[in-house]
Amino acid sequence: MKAKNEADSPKTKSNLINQLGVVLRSAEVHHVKNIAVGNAINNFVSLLSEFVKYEGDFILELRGDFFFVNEFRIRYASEVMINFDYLVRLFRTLEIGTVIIKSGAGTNDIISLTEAFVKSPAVNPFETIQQKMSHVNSITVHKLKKIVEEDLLDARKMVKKSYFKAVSFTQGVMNKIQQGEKIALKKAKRMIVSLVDHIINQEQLLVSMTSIKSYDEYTYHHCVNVSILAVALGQRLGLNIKQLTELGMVSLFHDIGKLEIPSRILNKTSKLSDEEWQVIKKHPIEGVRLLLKMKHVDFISIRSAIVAFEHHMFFNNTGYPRIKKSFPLDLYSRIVSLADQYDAMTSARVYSRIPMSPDKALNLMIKQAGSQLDPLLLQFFINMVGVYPIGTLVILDSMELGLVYESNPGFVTRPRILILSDSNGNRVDAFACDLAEKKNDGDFRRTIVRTLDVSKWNINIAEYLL
Amino acid sequence: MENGEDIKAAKIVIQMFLKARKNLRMYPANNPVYANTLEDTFDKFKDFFYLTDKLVLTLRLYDIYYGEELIYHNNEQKNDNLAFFFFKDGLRELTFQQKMPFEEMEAFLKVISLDFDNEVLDDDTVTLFWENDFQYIRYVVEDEFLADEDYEEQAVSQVKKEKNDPEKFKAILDDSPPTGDKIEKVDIVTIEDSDLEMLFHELEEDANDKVDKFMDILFEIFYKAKSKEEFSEVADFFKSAIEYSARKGNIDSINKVLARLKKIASNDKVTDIVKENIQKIILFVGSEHIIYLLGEYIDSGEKTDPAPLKDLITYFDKNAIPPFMNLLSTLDTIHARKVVIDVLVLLCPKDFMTITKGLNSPEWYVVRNVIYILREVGDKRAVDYLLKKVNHSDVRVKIEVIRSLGELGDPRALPVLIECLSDDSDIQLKFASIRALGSLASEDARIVLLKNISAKTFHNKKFNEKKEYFHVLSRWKDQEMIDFLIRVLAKKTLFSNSKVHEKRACAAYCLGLIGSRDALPFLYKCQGAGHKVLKEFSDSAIKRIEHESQKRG
Ligand SMILES: [Fe+2]
Ligand SMILES: [Fe+2]
Repeated sequence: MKAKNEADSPKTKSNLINQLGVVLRSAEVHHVKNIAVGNAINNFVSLLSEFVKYEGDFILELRGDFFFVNEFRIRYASEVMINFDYLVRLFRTLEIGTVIIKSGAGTNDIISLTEAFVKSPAVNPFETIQQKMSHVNSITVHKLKKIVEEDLLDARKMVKKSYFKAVSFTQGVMNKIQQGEKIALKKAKRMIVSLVDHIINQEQLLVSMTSIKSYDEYTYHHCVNVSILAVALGQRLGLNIKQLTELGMVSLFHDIGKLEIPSRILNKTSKLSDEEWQVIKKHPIEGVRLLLKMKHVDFISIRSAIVAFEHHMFFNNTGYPRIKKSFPLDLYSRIVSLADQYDAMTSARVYSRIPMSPDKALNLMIKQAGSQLDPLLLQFFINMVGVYPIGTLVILDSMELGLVYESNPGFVTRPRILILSDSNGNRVDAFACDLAEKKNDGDFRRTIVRTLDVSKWNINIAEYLL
Repeated sequence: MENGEDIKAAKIVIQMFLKARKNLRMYPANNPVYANTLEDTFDKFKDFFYLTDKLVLTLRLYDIYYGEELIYHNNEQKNDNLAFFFFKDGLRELTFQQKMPFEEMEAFLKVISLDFDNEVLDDDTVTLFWENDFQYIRYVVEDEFLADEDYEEQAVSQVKKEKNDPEKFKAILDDSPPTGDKIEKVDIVTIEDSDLEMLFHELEEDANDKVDKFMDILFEIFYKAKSKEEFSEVADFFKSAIEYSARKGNIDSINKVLARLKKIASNDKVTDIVKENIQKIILFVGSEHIIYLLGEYIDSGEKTDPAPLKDLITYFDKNAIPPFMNLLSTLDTIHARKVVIDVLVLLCPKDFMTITKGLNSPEWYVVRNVIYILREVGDKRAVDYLLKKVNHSDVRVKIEVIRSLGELGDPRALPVLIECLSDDSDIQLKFASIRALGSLASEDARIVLLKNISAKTFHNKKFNEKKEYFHVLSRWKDQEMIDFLIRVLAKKTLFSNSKVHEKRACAAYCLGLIGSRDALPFLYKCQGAGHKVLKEFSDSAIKRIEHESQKRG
């Protein structure tokens, strides 16, 4: 007997969250008695009644940046992204951590919940909602928990370990390839799997690892960073786990052609001559060569070769290598171009000799949207890294100096930051604060007023981010 | 569980894993054994979950434990050893939860049944488990991929070396207003429904095969090549890409590449090196290896559109014939053999002699296929070879020969056909001979047929055979034939003789096929006949003739 439980599949859980988003969003613009809201609520209730048959209660919890349904982490798929982002923001603003809807909850209960949510005040929103819901027996709400520092520390340690392992592994692989040795692709794939797994669960922590640019062995960090940024973007686009692994693999090898470029050119600290540039520009084609000679041709090597060839061609085919018969770039090539440009621009080791601060790089990238970069993908990219990406140095309206260490889903202009000095310019022991946090009067506690150039002020951010 | 029921149940599940590994490898997915194995395993899981809600297996190099209990042991370092198989990829614990759906268990069993020893796989078990994104099967993995453990410490201390001077922070604020960038408003960040729609479209597009794009890139590299070595290297890349496409049955892409290459080669300005390399690629496409791969693909049960293959073989020369001929004896499915036969019909004019060699194949079906090919090609030279095969030991071959001799229309076939007409050993062979005489369509053939029909012994033939004779006669539509048929139809007997009526019925049938209006009065008369077959055949002949003349106006 096959037991196909559609009702408790991850898809159903994600649909439920999405539908709750639809309900609350429409209730924001219409009255709860409006037909649009009514329909949305009916849909939610019918999804819910299917679900509770198998699962009993529906427990929706916001933990960190992710929703969990009955202890299951629900993944971000692009088709539900808008509503997910909205709900994350709403839960945070209302200080809601968990909503438990017991089996047996009906349309009227959901209407009460909707009303309580949309009519909540700016001050003490959670307490008001809890009070309003006290007469509804089948629904309970719990306050948002602060993330326990210790858990975060553990997670950070694990991610860090995994990141450096990946870099060191990549270095080993690249050396082997350079010496013409066979490489074990199974191992490389395992490495990517562990990275992708971390990206899925700790996206921001891993992205933060890419923000330190001063490593001696930057070439290998660059490979891993591009892979991380590409996979993180891929996840935002809704790629499935298999595709993410593929994307991780092909992006790791995007610059493999550089192995064929003399290191005196690659590592030259002064300005490159025209001839030297011509040599650099050969790395996409050299990449295809190396990849095709490395192993038998299969789907992964084809995709890798495509990305190696196209990653500097630009969205409008004006980059290099120049081609005779123009063709649109592959999706993965456009993803990798974004990740590559971003990482290259913000570091001092890849082509440009002066690193750009992350927010400046992003602004430049916005200017290149539609010409060099894919505008649609860039939008998702900015949503992932935030308007002030990790590693951006900022001055707050409090005159404190801060360093962005995590972007905040749903609040692209309000990241989480570390405060480095007080309003008098005195260095303090760095402490974290969330710019989405509000004061009792409902205003934001702190707001960014300016960004600063890290390299101009020569602040070593590694001290804070590692 | 005090009585150890759960230990027993866990052991049984392990036994089912071993059984599944055997059966899933041995049988195709549509085989009942395959399906039953899955169902059985699921049942055993249910038996276990009836007792407790989670099955946790601890994995060691040679052992599998359920709790404290050793439930599997094998001390060989081979993939056949289930413990070793899991352990060597880094798996240390496996947990199956009660809610595990059938599909998830199936995916799990499929992974552990892969033949990691003999297949080229870029994945290990952990990667494959992960890609399956299991919800109810959890696993603990020890990750070690030969990375330098010290690198982290080294790198971190290197980047942290330079300490931040507290004075810097002051300096930043003293620089007032601090030189920084005013924040710009970024509108681009709101993602609308229309963006998502565009994204879906992108993702859909991305699902397509990447071969064409890959080929485009190879062409660009080809255009940029300068030295002899570079050209020959790109040519090798093309060959690998073509091989990949052949494996995937993507013949369209191969055709596109060949068309582009031919176009380049036809340009007067290109050098001999370019032409040589293009020639090399084209020869490779027609090589035994590629043809073998194409054969494997079409035999795999995937429906193949014959059109691209037809285009492809226009690039082939006669050297492609032997490998395709080999496929005739190795392919399993009828569909695949038919495709190959059609290919050979098209290739035959390039080398007739090589095709005829297939007539000596020890496999009767290959001989029959080759005869079919020769007939379809319609080359008169085939007759000599066919005449030698009339006495082939397999009657199915003989029938094909007879049929082909008829259709090729060579007078030398006549004596052979006459001989077969009197061969009573196989009725199908006889029918084939009658039809072949009709196909010959010669005056001599007509005489033979009419002579046999008029002979006394004709009455004793089976009805079907009689009908076949008259059916064949319908190809001659002249007055003389019509008169003959009417005479047979109108033949009166004193006593109601069933044999005579049968022959009359056959004549009616033939007149109907010819569409002779002259026959109508005679046919009407037969409508009242007491003989059932005669009446029926006359009825339908009348309908047919009337219908035909109505159509003509
Ligand atoms: Fe590059
Ligand atoms: Fe790069």
